[in-house]
Amino acid sequence: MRVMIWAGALLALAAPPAFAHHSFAMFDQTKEITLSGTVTEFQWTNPHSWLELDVRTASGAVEHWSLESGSVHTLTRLGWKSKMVKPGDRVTATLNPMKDGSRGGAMQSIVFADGRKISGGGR
Amino acid sequence: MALAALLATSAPTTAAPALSPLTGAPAGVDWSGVWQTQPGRSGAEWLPSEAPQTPEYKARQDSLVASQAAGRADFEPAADCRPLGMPRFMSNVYGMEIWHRPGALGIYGEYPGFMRRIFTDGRKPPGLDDVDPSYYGYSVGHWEGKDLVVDTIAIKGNVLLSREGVQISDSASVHERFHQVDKETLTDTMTLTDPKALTRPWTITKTYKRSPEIDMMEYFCENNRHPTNADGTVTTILKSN
Repeated sequence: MRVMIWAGALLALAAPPAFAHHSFAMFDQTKEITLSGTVTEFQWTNPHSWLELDVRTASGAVEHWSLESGSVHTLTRLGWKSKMVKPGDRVTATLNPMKDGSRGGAMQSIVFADGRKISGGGR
Repeated sequence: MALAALLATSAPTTAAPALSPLTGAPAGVDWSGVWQTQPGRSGAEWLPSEAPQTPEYKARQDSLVASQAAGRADFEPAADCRPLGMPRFMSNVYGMEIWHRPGALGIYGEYPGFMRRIFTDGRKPPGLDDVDPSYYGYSVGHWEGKDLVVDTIAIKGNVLLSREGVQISDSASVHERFHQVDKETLTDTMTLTDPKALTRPWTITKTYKRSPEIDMMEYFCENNRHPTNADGTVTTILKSN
């Protein structure tokens, strides 16, 4: 426990402060998956921002995913701008998926079409 | 005669300092501007491992944690866009902006977008029967030298101290001493007294650093996609559902 508290303190020193506004128990934080798709909506909102993504599967079907990101404040201080992502953009996102298997996750990082990579803020 | 005049005007050290008519603060005190809390550690945060909880409130914490782990209601008020309350407000990790004016000092928390108001107009603290409970309580302060000493009463019960589910009761009060250590550093030594939830008063000292680089932003909790249902479970709203 003590070790975890100190690890948290070190993280807080190294990165802009982030504050989880709710439990992330619904996400499997031991698992990471990567999805490439087309943005349909980016909600720049508090308590958290959300990225909506259409992903084409190997069979050609389109699956829709909802990815939870950070607060507007956390994202701003990680270097995000609300207009960085817009509908139609192709992105690749890494996420902790929902434990129940539904198509959602906590976004850990995102790579834009031009190759820029940024923290996803979803922790 | 001269000696008598000198004696008559030499104030005891406990006397209230002269206050600026512009800011309401003593000469040489100007805390206005943006500050940021420093990472918590032993003695500087409401660490659950150090909480002197009564058995009843320890059991409440255990029950909240177990319930959340089982996927039931998220006790974190921020999850439902509910207020943080005192004293947790003073641990807010976003920007904290202080405003001086005669008769009051305001502390605006960028999260959750609320200004806590401390009356410094010399009023007497009201009796508990004369003030209604609120999330941030009723705060009355006075200057002792260059320190601001504040007492807060009438905090709503069941406010959380931290993310880990340690709750205070409707009998909690907070005694604070704000002290400027140097140009860049402000401390708030808080003593939490709560005869129902704690076996003894619990004191921590929070440290804030001047952070003019923070552009304060608005905060509205408008898009909670993890609502708590009537049966206590939590739904995550996915557009794919």
